[in-house]
Amino acid sequence: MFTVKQLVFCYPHSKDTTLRGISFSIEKGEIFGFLGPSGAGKSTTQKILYKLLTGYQGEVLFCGKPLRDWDRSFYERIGVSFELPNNYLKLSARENLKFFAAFYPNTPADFMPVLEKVGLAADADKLVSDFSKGMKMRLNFARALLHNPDMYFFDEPTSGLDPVNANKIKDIIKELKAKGKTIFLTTHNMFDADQLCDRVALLHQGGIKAMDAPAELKLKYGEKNIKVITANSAMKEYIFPLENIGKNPDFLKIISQQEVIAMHSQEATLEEVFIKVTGQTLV
Amino acid sequence: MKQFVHLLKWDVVLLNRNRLFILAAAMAAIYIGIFYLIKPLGNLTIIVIVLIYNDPVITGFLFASVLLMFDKNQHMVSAITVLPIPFTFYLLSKTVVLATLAVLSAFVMAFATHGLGFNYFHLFCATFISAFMFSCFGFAIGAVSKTFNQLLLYSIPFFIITALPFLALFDVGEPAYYFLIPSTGGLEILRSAFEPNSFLHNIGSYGQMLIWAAVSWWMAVKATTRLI
Repeated sequence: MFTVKQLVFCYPHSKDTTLRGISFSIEKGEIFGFLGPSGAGKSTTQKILYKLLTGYQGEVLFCGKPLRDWDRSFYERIGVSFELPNNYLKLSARENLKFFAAFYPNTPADFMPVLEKVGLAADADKLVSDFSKGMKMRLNFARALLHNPDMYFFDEPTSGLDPVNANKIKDIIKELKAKGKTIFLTTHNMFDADQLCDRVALLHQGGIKAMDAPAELKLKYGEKNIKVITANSAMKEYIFPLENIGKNPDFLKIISQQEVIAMHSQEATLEEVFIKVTGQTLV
Repeated sequence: MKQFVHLLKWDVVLLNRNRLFILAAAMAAIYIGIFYLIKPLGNLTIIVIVLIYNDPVITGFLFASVLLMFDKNQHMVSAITVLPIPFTFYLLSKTVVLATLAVLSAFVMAFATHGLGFNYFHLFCATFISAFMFSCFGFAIGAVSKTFNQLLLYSIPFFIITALPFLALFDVGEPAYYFLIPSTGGLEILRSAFEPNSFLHNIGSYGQMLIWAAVSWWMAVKATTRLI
């Protein structure tokens, strides 16, 4: 869907290069996560991908055609949900959707199904100025779905949401993937990225430091051990190498003779992978 | 075109929700009240010209800058830029709505003070194009202002400069002295709506007004696209 080759970008009047030759591709039907701390270049990359920033070096292709050659019809093919709520406060949720929907072909006349999906049906006619941040974020999200695009850009889609609504949004993202839609997800939330993304790219100081499926990254950067916790007289922890674990006599003895209360593989979390790769935490 | 009409419709709704119509109507009513109070003093033409320029035209500047500040605060500019319409539609729609509002107020004020005895074409062109121009300046200054205080700070020198051609109405210097100031052409055309002026004078004033309208549009587009 998107192919990015050797993308370099420097803001006018800035001495620093924001993006230093990043390359990646996003396949059709994939959820691609873009992770990185503030200032890593995530927003800049996104702005280039949805044509808000020009003047970059390198090659960006959307559906095989250079992004620069796409006219405004490009925006009929993508849906964007921004990190910060951006709705007209003096309009109701329904009016906001009505306003934005009219710019696209083939949008529904009834906005209740999409409002129901994001849990805002009961507040459809309430002014957005009376909404909480979470409600505004869900309205942002609903707006991106309106015109049924091929590709979605979701920037921190669960930010400011309670766990129930965050799950609702994650379920919708999974549903979109099941329908074959392509999703570019930017998030600080490693748990969300782990749950949702087929592949993630770890961005740091304008460069991609690692890129793979979350499970692969966790295995690659984690320890290939298994931790066993037993509780015979007192709680005790044992660490065994995963290699040939089924033939490890010490391991087999413990699980057959002692009361095992927990057993965990020692793979790294995505956050630990990020720290290992970049030497920095995600802030 | 359909999308532009849709934008116009919603800009009217938003102006109404932000109570700017009520504000515009209240200001026009106050000015009409003032006209009736000072009517016995004699010829009101110069005062009508000053007030029409001050109220509907210059409020275009304030309304445009405030609307843009509202949209900036609500992060609406980025939402608009990812729509399948040119970003200039967003500016054009607001300027057209504000200029139409200015024309309506100006005609109400002109009818109230001069009855039917004035040149409708000159009044329409002077108020519409000047309000369009001032709305564009409002967008440009609103775009570079981070806060409402900053907006006010930048507006003061702008208002002082654009008010200088008013001096020509009171015979302080010739209009030609103020030729480079954006408001001069519009003020002269507005004067022509109520007092006869030479054809060549009007042509020069229209030309000056249209050039400044084009410059202000360019400035508005340039400044607002930097917000993206």
